[in-house]
Amino acid sequence: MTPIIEFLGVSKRFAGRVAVEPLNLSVERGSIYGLLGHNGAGKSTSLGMLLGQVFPDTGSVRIGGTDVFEDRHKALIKVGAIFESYNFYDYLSGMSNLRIFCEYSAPVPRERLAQVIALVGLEGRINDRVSAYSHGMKQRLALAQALLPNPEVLVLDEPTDGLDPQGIVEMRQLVRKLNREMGMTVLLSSHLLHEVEELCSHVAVMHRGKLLFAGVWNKRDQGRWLRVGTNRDDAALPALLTVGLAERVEPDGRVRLAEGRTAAMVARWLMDQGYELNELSPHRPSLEEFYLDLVGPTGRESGASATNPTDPTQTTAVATHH
Amino acid sequence: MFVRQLINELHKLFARKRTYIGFGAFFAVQVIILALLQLPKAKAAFANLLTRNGYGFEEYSGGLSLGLIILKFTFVLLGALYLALVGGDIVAKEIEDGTMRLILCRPVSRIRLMIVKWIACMIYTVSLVFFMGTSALMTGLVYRGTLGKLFVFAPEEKLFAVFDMQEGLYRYIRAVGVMALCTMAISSVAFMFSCFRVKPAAATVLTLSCMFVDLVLHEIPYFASYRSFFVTGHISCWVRTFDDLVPWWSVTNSLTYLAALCATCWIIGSLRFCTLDLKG
Repeated sequence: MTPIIEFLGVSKRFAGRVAVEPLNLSVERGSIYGLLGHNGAGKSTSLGMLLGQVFPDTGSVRIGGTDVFEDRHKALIKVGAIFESYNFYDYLSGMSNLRIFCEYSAPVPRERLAQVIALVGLEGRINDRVSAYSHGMKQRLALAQALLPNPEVLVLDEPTDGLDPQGIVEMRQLVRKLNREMGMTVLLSSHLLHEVEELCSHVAVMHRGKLLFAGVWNKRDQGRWLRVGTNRDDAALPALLTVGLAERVEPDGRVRLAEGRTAAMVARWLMDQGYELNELSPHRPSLEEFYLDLVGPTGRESGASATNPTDPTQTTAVATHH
Repeated sequence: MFVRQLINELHKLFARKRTYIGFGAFFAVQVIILALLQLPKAKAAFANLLTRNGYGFEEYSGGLSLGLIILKFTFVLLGALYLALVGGDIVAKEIEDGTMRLILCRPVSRIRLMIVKWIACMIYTVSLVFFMGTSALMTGLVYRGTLGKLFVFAPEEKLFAVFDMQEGLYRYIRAVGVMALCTMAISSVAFMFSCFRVKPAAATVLTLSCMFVDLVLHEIPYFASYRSFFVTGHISCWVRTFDDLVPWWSVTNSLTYLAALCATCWIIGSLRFCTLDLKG
């Protein structure tokens, strides 16, 4: 698969404070890529650099092989974007807004306008003033302006913020549809983990301007998490760490196996030690667990749960590149 | 596309309700000035000035003369403020509202955006000045019922002139045209400040402060030898078009100075905008 978006060592500081450390990230064509992170993690700055709105201190950003800062027109002609707050000229009609924004790219035929307006379901209200729109309607208008140039890449920055549950579901369905039926690449920045888990095939996790992980999140640690239950968890679970069978145990019984260890080894050792084994099953971590495992529940890197201090994979961030 | 973008920019400016409230405010101020000019003391001073110089009050206090007086007062009281408001808004407001981020998602160059916005701002300036000129003249005409002859008195320019109706009307229209060109400087200064990372109101206040300081310094005798550097002195060159023999060299000199100021403001503003990081 060819990358359609490439961050090549881009970094940014604001008033001496690091916003994004040198970032290398590739987004494959046709994927739905989630960009995760706490507030201030560097997500919006990264998207700003992607869209040529924030000038990087180092590195370059490419869309479809074209450097955004060298040939802005060629790079951005096939990009649509939505930001968390839907900012329009609210004293103008939805139609006027669409015309104004799309005419900064290229003339859009009437048929295309009608097609996009119908796609987002604003036919009946497109000539009303935006000030009379509900939040959900503004969101649909935002989507329409992003889709008008028939983009290959759709950048969504917190697209479901403030939407009602139905709006969130509709948005999610539309993103899937655009990806599947039109082959659109979607880069989605969100702090709603459930949303990203539902939609995204790949994720990038940023924390304090640093990329901690990039890739297919549920392939990482595949088969290495177990759920273990014994008659004496308080003694058995920490013991797994001590003997080097596990590199991480959680109070609720989730155990991550150490490199090269298997579930059978854990079962045999527990029974040899006289523990009564009540549960031993594979555990597939959710994105939330995965995310918190990386950045910690309060935004500190690595979680607060018991870890094997000798395990080098626990102490620093993992940055894989696909 | 450039023309479409310019039309859209003008559409954004002229579709605002605030624009028309502003125009309404101008008209209201003009009516108030007209009413104040009818106060006995003001009227007597006006009549006295004319009769002392051998001209009839009735003959020279028609719509043209009243219109010019109203125009001068309106320009001083509201013109600069309103131009600074609109110029200060043109970029800063879009940044503040977040619409600029949406625009810059499109493959439009920042320089082109600056050109489009500046031209729109200048068109707006010219429209506003012509509105001021027309409405002042109409106010005077409706009140007096006739245009009458034109009488011009501008002590700061050592100017006292009278014209018959036809010549007076021509001079009036020409002066409004020159005034429109001069006021582009105020809009350009506001435009420049608007391109910096400031609130729209800050851009307006900065512009008005600059103009006020310039005006005060211009009036201080100590700086008499430096008057050619002060912007407000050049802006008032439109009054000199009422001289019997118009000093075109001096007027052109002032307009050139103001054009250079406009260009400088555009360059500084655009350079700043082209390096500005826009983030939500």
